[in-house]
Amino acid sequence: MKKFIKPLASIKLAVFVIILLAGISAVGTFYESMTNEAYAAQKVVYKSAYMILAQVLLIINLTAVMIDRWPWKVRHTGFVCAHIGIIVLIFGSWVTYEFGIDGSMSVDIGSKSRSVVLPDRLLSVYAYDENMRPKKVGERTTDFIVNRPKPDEPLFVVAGKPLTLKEYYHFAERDEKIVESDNKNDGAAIRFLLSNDRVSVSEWMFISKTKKDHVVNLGPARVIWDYGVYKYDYGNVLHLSPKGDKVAYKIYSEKTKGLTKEGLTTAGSIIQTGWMGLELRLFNYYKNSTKKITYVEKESASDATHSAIKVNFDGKDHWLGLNSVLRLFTGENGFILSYGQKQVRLSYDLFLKKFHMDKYQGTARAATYASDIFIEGLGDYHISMNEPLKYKGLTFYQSSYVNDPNDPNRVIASVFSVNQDPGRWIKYLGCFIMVFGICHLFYYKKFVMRRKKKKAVES
Amino acid sequence: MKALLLVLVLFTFHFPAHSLTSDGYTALRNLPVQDGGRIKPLDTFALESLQLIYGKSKLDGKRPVEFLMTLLAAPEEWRDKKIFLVRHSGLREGMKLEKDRQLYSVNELIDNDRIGLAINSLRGKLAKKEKLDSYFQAVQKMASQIERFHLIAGGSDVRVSPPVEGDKWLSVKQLEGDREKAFLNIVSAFAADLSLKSSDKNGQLPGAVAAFVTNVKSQHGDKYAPFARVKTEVHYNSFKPFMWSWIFYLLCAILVLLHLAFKGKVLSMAIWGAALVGLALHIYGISLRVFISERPPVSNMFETVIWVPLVAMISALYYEYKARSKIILLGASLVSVLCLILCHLAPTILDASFTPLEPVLRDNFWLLTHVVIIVSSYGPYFLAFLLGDLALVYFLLGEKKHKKQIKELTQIMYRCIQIGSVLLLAGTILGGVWADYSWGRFWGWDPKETWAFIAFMGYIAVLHARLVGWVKDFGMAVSSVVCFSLVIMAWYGVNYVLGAGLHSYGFGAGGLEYVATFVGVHFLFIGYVFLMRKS
Repeated sequence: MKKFIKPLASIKLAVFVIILLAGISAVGTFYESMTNEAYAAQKVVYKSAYMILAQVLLIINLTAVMIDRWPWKVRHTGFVCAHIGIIVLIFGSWVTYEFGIDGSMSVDIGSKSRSVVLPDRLLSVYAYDENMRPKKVGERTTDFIVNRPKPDEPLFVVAGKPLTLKEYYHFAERDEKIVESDNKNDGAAIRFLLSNDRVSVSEWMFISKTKKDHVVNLGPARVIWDYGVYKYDYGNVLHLSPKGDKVAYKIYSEKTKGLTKEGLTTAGSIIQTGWMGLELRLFNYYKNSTKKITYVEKESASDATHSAIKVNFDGKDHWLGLNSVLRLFTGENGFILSYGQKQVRLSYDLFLKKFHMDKYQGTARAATYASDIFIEGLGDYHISMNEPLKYKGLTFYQSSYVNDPNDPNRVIASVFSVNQDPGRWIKYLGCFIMVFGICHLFYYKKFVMRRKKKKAVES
Repeated sequence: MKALLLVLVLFTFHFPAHSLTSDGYTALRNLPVQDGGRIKPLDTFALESLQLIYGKSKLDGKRPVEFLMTLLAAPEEWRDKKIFLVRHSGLREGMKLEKDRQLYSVNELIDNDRIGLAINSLRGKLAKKEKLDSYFQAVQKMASQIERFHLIAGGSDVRVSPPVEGDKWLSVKQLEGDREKAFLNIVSAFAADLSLKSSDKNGQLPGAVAAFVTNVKSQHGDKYAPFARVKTEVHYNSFKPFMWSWIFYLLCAILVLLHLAFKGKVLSMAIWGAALVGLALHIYGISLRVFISERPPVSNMFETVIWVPLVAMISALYYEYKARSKIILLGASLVSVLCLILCHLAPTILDASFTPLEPVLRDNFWLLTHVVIIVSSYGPYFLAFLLGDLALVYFLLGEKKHKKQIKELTQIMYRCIQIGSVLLLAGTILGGVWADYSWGRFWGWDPKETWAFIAFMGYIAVLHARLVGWVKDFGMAVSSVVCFSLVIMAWYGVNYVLGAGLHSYGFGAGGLEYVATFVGVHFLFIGYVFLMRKS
C-alpha cells in the first residue's frame, strides 16, 4: 500500500501542483483583462478541465501524503489539519458550484419581479399547440464559448429538419444595415452627408408603409424624408421624397419663410443648400430596402456587446443575439427559437417601493444606496449596501442600480444579487481547520521547545 | 461676475513674477473649497490641479495657489504658456504634435485638428464602457487637463461658498452681491500682494480672505466648513511628513552600513535614534491622513505604499530588539526609503489625494480588516525581498567569507516569508468573508483575489521546497526576490496593468516601464550571481 502511495505523496508532486494551480490562475487573470469579462474567464479558465484536473491532483496528493504519515502523532496535528482544511475547502466550493444559486435580479422602481437571472445560457424551441399557444418542445444549456457543437451536429431537430449552429460570437456588437431589396412592398431609404467646413453629419433615413416619415433634426436645420406630403411650417428645412428612380428635393429657408430651391437628384450627386455653406451629398437611394441585422465580432466585452449565434435552418442563415427570439417557418408551422439566460422563478414577488441614494457632496458620485422592498408574507424590508435580506433560503444583496438612458441622473431600477450557497459552512469550516493547522505548524515546534527547555531547567 | 473683468484688465498689466507674502500665502491656502465630493483647502485643490496639468507641484517658481489665482484672474495670460504635460508619445504622434516636446499650451491643444476626433472616439468608448487602452487613457487625461484649465480659468468650478439650498457649493462665477465683492477683494489683494516682499506684514490679502470667510460665516455659521481639518490638510501639504520620514530612514540605512564596518555602541544608538524619528514622522503622517479623510488608513494605492514600509519597519525594529540583528534594519530602512520616495516622486501615478470611496467600501469592519492584513503581509515579503538582495550581494562578495551573515539573512527571510504567508492567507480568507457578507460570494476569481492566491501559492511552494531541502541558502535568497514579483503583480499589476475586476476602485495608470525595469534588473542580477557562483 505505502509503496503505491509514495509517489503520489511526494513533495515534488506537491510543488508541481501548487505551481500548476498558480499558473492556470495567472492565465485566467490575463484572459479576463484581455476580454474584459469575468464570465468568459470563469468558463474558459477557472472552471476548465485543466483547473479541475489540477484540483483533483491536489486532493490526491494531500490525501496520499496524509496516508503516508499514518499513524499520526501529536506533532502531526498542524500538518494534518492544514491539509484536511484544504480538502474541505475545495469540497465546499464544489458544493457551491454544483448546488448554489448566484444570480441577479433587476426590479423597476414601483413594480415587482420574481425572476432571478443566472449567468448560464439556454436555447429553447417553442412550437404552437392546437390553441396557438407556444409550447416548449426542446431546450438545452449552452456554453458555446467552450463547447461548440460541430457544424453537422444539429442543436435541435425541428419539424424533421435540423437546426445547426453556424457561428458563435461571444463578444458581438449588433449592426443594422440597410440593404436594397427586391420586394416592392419594402420601404424607401436614403443616406446623406450634410457638411460644411465646420460640421458634417451623415445619416440613414428610412420610410415604409407603417413609418410614413423620418425627420432628422440638426439644430439649425431639419431634414425630412417622406412620400412627398410635407407642407412647410417653420425654420430651415430640406425635404426629400422618392420619385421613381430619383429623389425629389425642396429647400425652404428660415429667412424667406418659403421655398428657395427644388429639383430632382440621384445618388452620388451634390446639392448646395444655401444655408451656411452647407452642402448635401446623397450617398445612397434605395427605392425598396430592408434592414439587415448582422453581428460584428469584437475582441473584448463592453456595454454594447453580448453573445450572438448564427443558426442555419431549412437552408437559411439567421442571426440571434442573447436574450432575443427568432421566428422560424416551415410550411404551415411556425416555431420560436429563444436564446436567453437561465432564470429561476421565485414563489413570491419582490416589490420595489423606493430607492434611496446619497451622493458625495456637490458631485454625481454615489456614496451609498439602498432599496425599500416589500414581500408578501415578510412585509417591508430595507436592503442596503452590506446589509442584505435573508429570506426563505435566499439572500438578496444590494448590488447596483440602473439609470434612465435618457436622464443619467434618474435611477429607474435597483439591481440585487441573489444568492444561495449551501457550501458556505463547509468552506468556512475548511478555512478554520486550515488556519488552525497552519498556526499549529508554525508555532508548535517553538512551543514544545520552550516547554522542554523549561522542564530541563526545572529538573 | 462682470467686475472680475475689470480686475483682469488691471491685472494683465502687471503680472508680476514675484511670490506672495508669507502671511498672504498662508491665508489664501486655508480658504475652503468644495471639490471631488469633499471640502478641502484651496491649497490642495490648486496642488491637485497643477499636478494634473503640469505634472509637478511647482511651476517656474510659482506655488500651486499662485498658479491657480493667476489662472483664475487672468486666464488670457496662460493660454499660450506651455504648461500641459502630454507624456504619452503615442498620443503626441496621433495628434501630430512634436515628437520630443512634452509641454504644450492650451491653444496648441484645442486648435489641434485631431483633438476633436480623439475626444469623440473616447466618448464613444466611455458610453459603451469599453476598456480603454493606454492611448485612450492618455486622451482621457488630456481631456481632463483641458477641462480643469477651463474650469479654473472662468472661475466656474472653483467652488468657494456654500449654497442656500442643496449641497453643491457656488463657484466664484456664481457669487453675487457682497460676497462677490468680498471675493473680488481677495483677487485684487492677491494682485497687490505679489508685488510685496515676502516678509512684508502690511499686505491686504490676509484681511481680504478673513473678510470673505466672515461674510460666508455670517450666513452659514459653523456649518460653513470643517476648519480644523482644512487647516490640518494645509499643514500636511506643507510639512511633508513622509519626505522627512524617508530622509531619516535613509540616514538609518547609512548608519547601519557604517555599523557593519565599524561597530560601536554610539553608532548603534544613532541607528535606533534615526529609525525611531523616521517611524514617528511616518506614523504622524498616517495619523494626519486619517484625521483629514476621516477614514481608515489603507483605502487607496498611495496609502498602501505608505503602509507597507510601516509594517516592515515595525517588524524589523521588533526583531532587532529581540535578536540584535542590525542587518534587518538595513533591509527595512531601504524598503521604507524606496516606498516613500516613490510616493514623493510619482504624484501623477500614485494619486495622493483623498478621493471618495466607492459605496461598497464604506463603513465596513471586514473590509478594513482584510485590506489592512493583506497589505501588511506585503511588509514582511518586501523585507524578505530586500534581504534576499543583500544576501545575493554577500554571495557575490564571497560565500565562505560571509557564511555567518548569509545564514542570519536566510533565517530572517524564512521567518519573513512565514509571517507574510500567514498574514496573506488570513487576509485573503477575511476578504472572502467580507465578499460573502456583502455580495454573497466567498470566492469569485476576481483578479485581485486571484493574484493574492497566486502570490500565496508561490511562497507556499518555496516553504514546501525548503522542507525537503531543495531550497537552501542561495535558493532562499533567489526565491525571496523572485516570489516578490508575484506580490508586485498582486499589488501594482492588477490595478495598473490588468485593470480588470471588482477591485476597480483602486485602478490607476502609468509607471509600468519603471516597475518592469525594477523586476527585470532583479532577475538579471539573480542570473549574474548564479553564473558567478557556478564558475
